[in-house]
Amino acid sequence: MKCRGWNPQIALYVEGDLELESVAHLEKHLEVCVECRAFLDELRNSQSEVRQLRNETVDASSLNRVRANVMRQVRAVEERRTWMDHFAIWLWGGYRWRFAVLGSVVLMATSIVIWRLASPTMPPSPPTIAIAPAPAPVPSVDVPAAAERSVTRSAPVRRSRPVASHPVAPKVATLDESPVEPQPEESKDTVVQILTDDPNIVIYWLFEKNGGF
Amino acid sequence: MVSAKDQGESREWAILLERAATGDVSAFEQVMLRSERSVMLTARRLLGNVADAEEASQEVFLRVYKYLHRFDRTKAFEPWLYRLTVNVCNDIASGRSRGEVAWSDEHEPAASSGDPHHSLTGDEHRKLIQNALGELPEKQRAAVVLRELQGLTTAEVADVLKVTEATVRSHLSAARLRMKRFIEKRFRRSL
Repeated sequence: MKCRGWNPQIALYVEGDLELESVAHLEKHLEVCVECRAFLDELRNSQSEVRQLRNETVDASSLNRVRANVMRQVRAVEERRTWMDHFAIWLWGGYRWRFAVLGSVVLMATSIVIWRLASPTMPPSPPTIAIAPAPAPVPSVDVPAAAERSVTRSAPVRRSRPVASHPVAPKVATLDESPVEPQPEESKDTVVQILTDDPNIVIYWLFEKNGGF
Repeated sequence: MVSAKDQGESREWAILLERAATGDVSAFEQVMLRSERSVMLTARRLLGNVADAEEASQEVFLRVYKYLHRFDRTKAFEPWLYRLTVNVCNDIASGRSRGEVAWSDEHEPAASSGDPHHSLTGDEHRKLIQNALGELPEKQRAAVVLRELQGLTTAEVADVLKVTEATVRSHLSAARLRMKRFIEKRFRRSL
């Protein structure tokens, strides 16, 4: 009775379906258990009976009958098929790679179009130009600190056109976002401060009273 | 190791399937000729009688014709064909009421053999095993038929039945024990 637990494993072992790790365990048991060895022999006999069914034949007339019926229906369906049906079959057909390749090509084309539309060659942003009021005419002796700074800063002004590398007209803005205050008659000199992308480079453009610079 | 002949045959078979899938009737007939025997035998073993097996075979091949273009031809054809066969047989079996299951072979020919005595013995054996199969639950019967009579491996049976290999082993084990009891009982009765 104790050996009943081995029966399912013996039923697999008899046809070689038992997992390898269990085979050695079962074979060890079979060496010592007469009851299980007898059960294995009985199973071998019943399995050999089952295997005899492998040799059975099929009646040719039965096969012919089935084939004739199937082919008659198949031909009837084929006659009713239009070119649309054939195209659908071709398109849907087992060639999954066809869909994969087609999908990839469409995806790539779409990506390229979107990329081209989204990233046109943008001109560089124009530098901000601030028009600073010209420093007040320098008095003979007493120079205010701020004016002195301004003069000092305007000292290294390059007088050549600094915007050669910026083809777009520079945006003009007032210094500190404040409207340009009308300057007094005597301070018509104007300093244009050109801010570039590089915070370390500031270009000053000094307009003199007589219109030169 | 796959021989050149086998490779040539498998290429030829793939071309045949391809043509059949795109509506080539003669190619489909060739596919049917090559596989009809195994379908018919499987159906007969699953359903237990020739009439139902013929009906099942016909339905299987009509489904093959209908769905062959959807079949992934990078995979093997046989498991797909067996899966269709098992499904169709299950449909037919479930269409019958439980008491109606007909495991009769009245109009089937006896196994071919020159010796009448041997032929009778073979026929008796066949009926005995067929009846033993009929005693099994549907899933166990499918596992036994595919594994032991159609010669598929446990992994292939699992693939066809869409279950795990452990489940297949469980079905096989239970079915063998059940058939053993059935066969021994019938033999004792006949002695």
